[in-house]
Amino acid sequence: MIYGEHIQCDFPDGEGHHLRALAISALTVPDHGCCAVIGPSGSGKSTLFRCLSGLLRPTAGRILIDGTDITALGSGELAKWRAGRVGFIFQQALLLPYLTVMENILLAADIAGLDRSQKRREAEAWLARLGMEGFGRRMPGRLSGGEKQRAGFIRAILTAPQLLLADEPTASLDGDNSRLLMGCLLDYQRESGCTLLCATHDPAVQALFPAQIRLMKGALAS
Amino acid sequence: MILRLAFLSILRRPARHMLLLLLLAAACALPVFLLQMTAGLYNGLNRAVEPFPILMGAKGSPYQLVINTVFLRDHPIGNIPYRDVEALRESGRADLVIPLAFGDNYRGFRIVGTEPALFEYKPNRTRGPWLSVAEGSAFAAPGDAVIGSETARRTGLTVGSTFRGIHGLTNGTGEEHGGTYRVTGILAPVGGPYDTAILVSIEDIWRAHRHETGGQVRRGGIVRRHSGAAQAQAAPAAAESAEGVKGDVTAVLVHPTGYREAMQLLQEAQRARSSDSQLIFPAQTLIALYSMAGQSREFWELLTGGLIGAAVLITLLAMYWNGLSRLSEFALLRALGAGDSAVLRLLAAEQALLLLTGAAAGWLIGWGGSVLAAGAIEGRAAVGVSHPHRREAGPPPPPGTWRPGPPW
Ligand SMILES: Nc1ncnc2c1ncn2[C@@H]1O[C@H](COP(=O)(O)OP(=O)(O)O)[C@@H](O)[C@H]1O
Ligand SMILES: [Mg+2]
Repeated sequence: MIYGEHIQCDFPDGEGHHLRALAISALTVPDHGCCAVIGPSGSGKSTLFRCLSGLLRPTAGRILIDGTDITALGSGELAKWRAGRVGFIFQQALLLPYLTVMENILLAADIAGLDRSQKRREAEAWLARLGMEGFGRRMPGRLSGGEKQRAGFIRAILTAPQLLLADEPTASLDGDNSRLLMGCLLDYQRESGCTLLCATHDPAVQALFPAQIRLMKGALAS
Repeated sequence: MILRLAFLSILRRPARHMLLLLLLAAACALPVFLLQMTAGLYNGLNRAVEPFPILMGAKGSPYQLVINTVFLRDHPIGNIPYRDVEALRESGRADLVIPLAFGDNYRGFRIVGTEPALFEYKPNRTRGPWLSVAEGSAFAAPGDAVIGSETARRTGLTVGSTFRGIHGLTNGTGEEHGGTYRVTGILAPVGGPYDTAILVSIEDIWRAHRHETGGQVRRGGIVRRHSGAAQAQAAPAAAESAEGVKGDVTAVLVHPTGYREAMQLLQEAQRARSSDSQLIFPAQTLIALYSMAGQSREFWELLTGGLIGAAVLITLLAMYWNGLSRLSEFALLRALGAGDSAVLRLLAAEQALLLLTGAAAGWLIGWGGSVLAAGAIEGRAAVGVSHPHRREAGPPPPPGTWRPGPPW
């Protein structure tokens, strides 16, 4: 259960003024929720995700996730809370170029301090399931865009997060790859029961979600 | 996990870190090289002067006396009579008094007339003789010569070879003497100027010059009082034309029995104002020479210090730049659950790895370079740049061992 109230997020605009990126009076996402977050570019989708994951502390307001007020946690506690609880999928896969695909996939699990050999087996199974059997030993540079994004997806879910945040995951993919990835995401959400928020521009992707959060200039629009 | 990540990030992207590593290595290598070279140079100079605790020679520049006698460079000031040698021996204040006579050369290598006692001379009681014959034997009969290891290497002379000495101190000038020498021994390397010496009996020098002057003009006598190009080239001539009579000497190597005796010798020499000779402590002269060379040691230390400062600055800048270029990577790690401290530890681990590798490489390059350079210089110059790490025995005594007032 995600509950937020009076969330404000200001950024300095470089001219001594503040730019209000986020101004949400009340936000509720139920457990096992599956929501598309939609809105034009610059409407605050990424900022909302960063606030919900604890990466960014809002200027004002409270965010409670499963009863924990993450806006009241210190940065050390926040990092501990975040590790293994939140999964992130980005527009670009953002795989580290000096690690193999498998090492990249295990990165979040490593950071969370999870059992490496067990996670490796799970990762192998996911790679096989996504048509990337044996890709673990490759370097990311030799993967296609869709393959990279799928590797990024496995990296995000390997820690079994309760909250999965996908920030325009299909924006740089073609139709087939986009459908493949979204199928994985939604399947995983159904299997695991995690809360999935997916920011997107794509009407085809929006249509896959039963619920929608619509943002407009940082505020919720009805 | 962090260390592994830092290690992989460097190992798998060598090109990316090459520039930084090169910069680090260069920044480290330069000061190391300079420090090693200057230390080696001063060490070499100090070591060369070690076997000469006291020198006596004709009145004139003490620097010239040291440079000629210790470093086998420049021209001798002039000559002093053999009776000065005898007086020193009779004083009982020296356990070793050895005359040295310069003036001739073979292909630019100085012929030094001396006495066989030189081969037993131990400047430092804890070590073996300074000049020891490694191959063959010391000179015994007239015309015998013992050559330094460098002389042997560069002239190709071996035990049994014969050569003709040339009058004068530089190759090509002057006429050939009648004197022919036969190599009877080759010295063990000493790592100093005497590696390029040719040692013969002082009697041979006297004899050669007696033939030349025909006993009519005592050139030695002229040389003794004046200095000039022509006279400086002159070798010690015999006082008398008769065989068996002692001739003049250019310098006297004196090893005092102790510190007090050294002081007494100095005082006596200073009291005898009328004498045509001077008595000096070469180590002191060398210190004066260092300070005369524009405080060169301080200059080098200053330069090295500046270089180290620049190296530190470059390193900091390079690390800052490297850290900046990794910001997006660190943001990703944070998004994947890493805390700020873990990200900082990764950055620190990576920089430390780079710093260690670069510094180690730089140190190796600087050190290896200085060893190579020292070898190259030693091969050419009379004053060996003895590398501290190639020294066979303990360190040379600091050049302030003798601390009386300046003897000049
Ligand atoms: N770190 C930041 N510094 C300053 N301004 C920011 C920063 N992040 C986002 N913004 C601003 O906040 C607004 C919302 O951005 P964002 O959340 O990225 O929108 P979206 O993801 O919906 O495209 C934009 O106007 C953007 O310029
Ligand atoms: Mg965005």
